[in-house]
Amino acid sequence: MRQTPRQKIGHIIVLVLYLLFALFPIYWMFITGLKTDSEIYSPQPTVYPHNPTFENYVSIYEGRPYTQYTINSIVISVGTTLVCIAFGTIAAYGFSRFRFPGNRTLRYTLLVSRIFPPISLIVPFFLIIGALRLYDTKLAQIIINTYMWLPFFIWINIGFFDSIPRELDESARIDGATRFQSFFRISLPLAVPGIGAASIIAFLETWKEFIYNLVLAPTPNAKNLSVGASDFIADMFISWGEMGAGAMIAAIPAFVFVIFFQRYIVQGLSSGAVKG
Amino acid sequence: MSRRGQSLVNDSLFGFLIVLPSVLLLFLLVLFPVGYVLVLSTQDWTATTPAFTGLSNYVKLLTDDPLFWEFFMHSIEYVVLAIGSATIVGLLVALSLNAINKFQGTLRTFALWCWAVPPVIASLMWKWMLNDTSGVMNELLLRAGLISQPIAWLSLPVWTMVVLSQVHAWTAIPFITVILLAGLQTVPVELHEVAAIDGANALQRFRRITYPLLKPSMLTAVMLSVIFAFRHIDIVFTLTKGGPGEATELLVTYLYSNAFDYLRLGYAAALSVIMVIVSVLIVMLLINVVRAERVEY
Amino acid sequence: MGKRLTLVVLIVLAASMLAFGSGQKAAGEDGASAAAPGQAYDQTKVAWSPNVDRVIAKEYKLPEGAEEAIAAEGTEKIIVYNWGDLSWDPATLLNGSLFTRLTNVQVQFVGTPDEQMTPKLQPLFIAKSDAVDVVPLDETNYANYVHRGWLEQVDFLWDAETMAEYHTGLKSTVIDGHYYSVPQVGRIIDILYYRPSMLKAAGFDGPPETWDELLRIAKATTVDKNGDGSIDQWGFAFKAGGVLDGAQLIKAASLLLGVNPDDVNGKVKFNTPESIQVVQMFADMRNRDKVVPPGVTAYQHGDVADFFLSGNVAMVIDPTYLYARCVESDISNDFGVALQPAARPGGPMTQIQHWNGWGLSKFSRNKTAGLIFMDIYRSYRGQVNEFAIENNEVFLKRAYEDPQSKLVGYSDVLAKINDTVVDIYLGQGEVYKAVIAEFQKALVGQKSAKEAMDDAQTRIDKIMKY
Repeated sequence: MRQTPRQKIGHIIVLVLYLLFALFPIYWMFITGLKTDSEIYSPQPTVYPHNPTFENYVSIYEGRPYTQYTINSIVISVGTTLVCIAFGTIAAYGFSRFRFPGNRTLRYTLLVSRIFPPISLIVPFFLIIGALRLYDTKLAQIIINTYMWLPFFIWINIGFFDSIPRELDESARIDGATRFQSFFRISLPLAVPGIGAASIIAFLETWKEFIYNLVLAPTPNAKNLSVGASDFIADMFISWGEMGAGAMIAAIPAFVFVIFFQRYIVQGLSSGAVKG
Repeated sequence: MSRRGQSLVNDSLFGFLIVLPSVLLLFLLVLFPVGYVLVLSTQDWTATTPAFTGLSNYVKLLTDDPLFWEFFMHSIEYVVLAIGSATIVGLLVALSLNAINKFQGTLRTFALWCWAVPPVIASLMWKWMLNDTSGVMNELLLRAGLISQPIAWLSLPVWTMVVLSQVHAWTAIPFITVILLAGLQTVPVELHEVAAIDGANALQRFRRITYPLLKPSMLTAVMLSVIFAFRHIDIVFTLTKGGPGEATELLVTYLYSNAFDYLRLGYAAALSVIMVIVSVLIVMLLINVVRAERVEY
Repeated sequence: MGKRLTLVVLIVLAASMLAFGSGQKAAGEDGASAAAPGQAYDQTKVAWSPNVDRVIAKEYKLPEGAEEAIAAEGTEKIIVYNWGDLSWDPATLLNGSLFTRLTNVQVQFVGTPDEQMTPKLQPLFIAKSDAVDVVPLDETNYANYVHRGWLEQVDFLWDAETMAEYHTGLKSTVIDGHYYSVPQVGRIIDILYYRPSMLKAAGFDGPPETWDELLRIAKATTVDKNGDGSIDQWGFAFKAGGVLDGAQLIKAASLLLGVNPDDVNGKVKFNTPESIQVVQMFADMRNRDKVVPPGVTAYQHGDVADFFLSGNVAMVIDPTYLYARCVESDISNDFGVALQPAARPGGPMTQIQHWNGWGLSKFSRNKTAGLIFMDIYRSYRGQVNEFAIENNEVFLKRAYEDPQSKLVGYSDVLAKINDTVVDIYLGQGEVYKAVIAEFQKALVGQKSAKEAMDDAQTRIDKIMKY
């Protein structure tokens, strides 16, 4: 649809205003991390750092196991994503392609498990993890994050599989392929965009996870960057400079992912939701 | 499973079996916590040892706790203000992104960035920005001449809730935008062109064509965002902890206080069950609305 | 669909409760097999008594039998949770290394922001986990933990002679006649910080000594420096928000009027005429005199400190921890400290002593080592380290006489303090929350001071079951 110049300007104004609103806090995070303490506490806040310095970044890496946190975050997020892919892809295929009693029911029940406020489940999860002797481990984090995001992963991929024509499956079966072969050779390759998108979402959301990591990972063995950034809340005050630096480090990998995979993200969210 | 052409397992069973691992995994992970919370909600934790007390926690919450209803109202305000404005802004942004063809990828990237920031960190940054004396928000508004006195964003009795809900909207808009954008892209362009030829202007085209087709995705986006907002604690907890007074105290912060400050675990468990029931009701309500409003062309 | 869903839900519910039931059993068995951590500690293995000599000795010596007991428990490290990150707690680290030097046991500190402490510790306690040995305590959680039976009783660490070495406020940590903790630090909540240059510019040579003077100076130092119609320098600021801050503000000021809201004839009463007067005064400062920024309603936790450091306010009343930050800041050459002003000339000068302590988890497997850690901390060397290095007040009186302590910039201010109170009771956290909520309503003009405090008292009565 062609837009009149007036409409075009209107759209541009909307986008500019929104982007200012959306990006300013991130910009602020970024420059706070680059400011010296005296600039942060100066009588008037400065809109850009007058004496930019990397001392905050240096001090957090020196003083804290940030490399360990980064490794943990990566391991946990990648681990969760892989588990989701392993379990969720074929489950989504099953929900989408096959009729069996309870198909619809189970789909909805999966989602219901996510409705409990996370804080009310802290203690029981702690008991489970303790009983499995997995306290303070990355494996525990992977298990919990799988619980959080596998339902959503499956839900999105059901939508994707739904949109792949059944005829392709059926013709493969007629040609003598088993159901598994049909899945792996025909449907799976076509569903890759959906799997990719769902994986990115699972990855990012696990990356951002806070409360379960906080409670179940007290030491750098399994602590992630999200919780690590709250290290800068001292007993009586907050070290804003270091917090800004820590926050950027916690957010940058997420930003990088968004840059490369925003195409997939759009597909992922929309297909899960629209078909919903 | 059989590799031969014949199957020992029929399609239906096959389907069931391949979803089983995931379903089992999730159920096992869910069963114990849910059971735990349910049992806990029947216990009274004010004495030194917990005692069984049936449904009295629920009764107390619903009939003898004015704070429950007050904070319930606050939660509703928070959710309505946050998701209301997030939906409106999300819609506008989606429409604009849809209309502009250049740089769609770049613009989407920027619009999604705020969704990639861990919520606790984002809340802390907002808190610092909204600080009434050292915060940049006041600084910018003062310099622009829009206000003459710094505003205490997090201390105004009525407006603090508005401020909080808009911070939440900040985190929720990208999700909604993206869903609506995809939904918009399924609206056939031909419908618009035909209508334009027939003399309909932009607003009419939106109301008659775009909006009805967009409703399913809009409702789903709203439903998911509402559920998430209802139980989201990071933002309130970091920015105001329920203050000033109790103006921004939500059900979820009340849950937190009961569980961790007063160690009234039974009461807190009952509260969380009630919150789940409310959320499920909202989901069912919205699903039924979607069903009733499906549009066919 | 509906019927099936219901059926599934019912099955899930039933299975959940079964799972929970069996899970409880498993947890129970687990606990029982773990060297019975829930059993009481056998303190006869170590010669704790006489405590006092060991506590006041300039160099700490392990009590007899300690090394053997630690070895018998097979302890290689203890896990100690700490309020806030440890990079700001050099004294804690120092005391930890002292402990390690003496016992060859490592200390693993877990630094945790205040509001994350209970969510982290509570699951550990409920699960009877041995993943923590020593826990940090303050008024918000101490009584709760004791009530739940999560802390080890340590009567053998205390006696009358030992108690006499500490500030009298420490008596409040005795619950039902038993001891469950050692003091870590006490923070005297209120000393006055001021900017001499700002006061001078307004015509005042020194800090205020009474509330009247405070108000006068505050009015004179609240200025619009660049004439743009908005105030850029405020006279004063206080903390009305937070988890404790607002309530302790009222309590501190009430004490200066001779009343302790936490103990009015043995009850908690925040609507005495004195407390109402105090609330009114703060509300007036904000709304009528306008000498404090409107945002004070939500200030907590360092907001006032940040404010002072940023140079936008002439006076604040804040804990002594701010001193070290001032010294390292841009205003290091232009700040002074004094005792907080009395309500009236010659009025009471009772101060709140905020209490932080250490407790031993009932479920720890390293109890002797944990106890030694705690013992070192409350002894001479541990307490001097806290005061001299971190400038945190301590409860051990003679720690202030150490040459290292005398170097602290405000030790003479503290020396003037004689009368302190420490109040700890069950429900305190909830009481303070209610008080803060109502206080904030009074501050923003929603209620009068009397209405707010009367409403707070109604809630307090319910909480305390009066």
